[in-house]
Amino acid sequence: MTLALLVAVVAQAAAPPPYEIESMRVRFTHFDQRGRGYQSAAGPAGTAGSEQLTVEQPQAEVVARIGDRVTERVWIPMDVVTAASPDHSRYNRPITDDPPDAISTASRRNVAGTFDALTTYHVDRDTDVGFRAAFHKEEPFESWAFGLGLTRSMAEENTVLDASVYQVVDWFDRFKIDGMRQGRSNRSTTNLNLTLTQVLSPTTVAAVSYGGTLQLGTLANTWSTVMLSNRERGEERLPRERWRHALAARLAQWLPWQGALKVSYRIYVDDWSALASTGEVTLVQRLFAGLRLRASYRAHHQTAVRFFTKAATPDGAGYRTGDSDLARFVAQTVGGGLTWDLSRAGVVSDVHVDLGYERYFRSNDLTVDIATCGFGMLF
Amino acid sequence: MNRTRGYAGRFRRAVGLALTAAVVAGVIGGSGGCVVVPQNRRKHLADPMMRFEEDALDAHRRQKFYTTREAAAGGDGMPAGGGCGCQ
Repeated sequence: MTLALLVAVVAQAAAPPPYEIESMRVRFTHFDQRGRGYQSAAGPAGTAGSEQLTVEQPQAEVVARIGDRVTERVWIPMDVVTAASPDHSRYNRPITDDPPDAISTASRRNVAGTFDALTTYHVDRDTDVGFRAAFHKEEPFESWAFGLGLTRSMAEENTVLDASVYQVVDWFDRFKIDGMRQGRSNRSTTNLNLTLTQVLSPTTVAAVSYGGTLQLGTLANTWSTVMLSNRERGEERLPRERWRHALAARLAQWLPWQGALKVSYRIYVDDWSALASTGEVTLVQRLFAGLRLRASYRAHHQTAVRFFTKAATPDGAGYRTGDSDLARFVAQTVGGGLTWDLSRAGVVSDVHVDLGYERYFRSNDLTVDIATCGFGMLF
Repeated sequence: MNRTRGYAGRFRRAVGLALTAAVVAGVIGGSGGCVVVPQNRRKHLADPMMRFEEDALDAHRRQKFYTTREAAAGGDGMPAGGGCGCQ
């Protein structure tokens, strides 16, 4: 009897809790963008329009463990955008300090939210299977996303292979360039990712990744304009298919003075003839008592897609875009931040606070200032 | 005609570069496959500073920012486009 009771008590003590919150995080980011681009109609005829906008982006994430085999991550990012596109009420009017409207004068702000859930099932010590489902909603747009992933550790966790597939389906309103609604449209995005992470030494880890994406359907946002050779504005016309390939390599090196150096490089190519290379260097230095200082620099170069133009033929029937994001440019980002990991006794074992600032600037007249702060608790 | 040839050449060059990078990555991965660092010697690798992305929410805001402002995207485990009104 006593033995049976003892076994029952030990079994109860060894059983994993049915539901346990592992961590909670929140983050708030503010983006302040200025610049001009030919896709925007918010400006005088014959010139690039305003790309001014601000974005307030709150995010929240909760990670919970259910039993000993399932981890659930629920994540809710939101965007409040003052102007996602040119304001057609400004058509042919001078650029002012007021941010352009999102699509028409119907709304000055566009609120977008996503509900994203990732369930990870721990098959065994070395294998995880993940399932992701997400729903996104904003004023003229909604989207579903589903994903499946497999993570496999090998060689005493020195090698980790990660493979995932995603399917995203978007439905959105279609607009003429004067802001008039033309009904609904859709696009599909199918994505495959492969990542190999390898420990190279007790202080070095590297990863190589491939990401392939196929997009089908209406790939334009439908309201962007193209400058015509007669100084008028016409509609953007994009192919209904796009194959995109990215290959990335990353390396993290521990530094003996309590620091870390991280470098990454990515090459990108697609069948719209865009070719891009992106490099980034991040240096992290631990100062004292959990305080870390981070500095980073990123450089990106891309060629224009083959149908980019600043003076399209008015009666031409081919593909054309004046979108500054699809032009040839060099972009640089410089930034830095402070992270503070606080250890506390009791329920909360780790509290994380961080502050960061970045400036993104491009050779084709676009500058974005980004300020972000995060707060997290690890239970 | 020359323009078309220029694009084709650029595309071939890009594919060549990508293949070269893949070979380099394979060599790194292959050579790394021989390395087995025991767990008790991986304390530096377990430091949060050594994570490629220290914070998932920070990684998301960066990923979305660049995906919606540049022609290039992907290679970070997420779709290159889709799920947003921009691209």
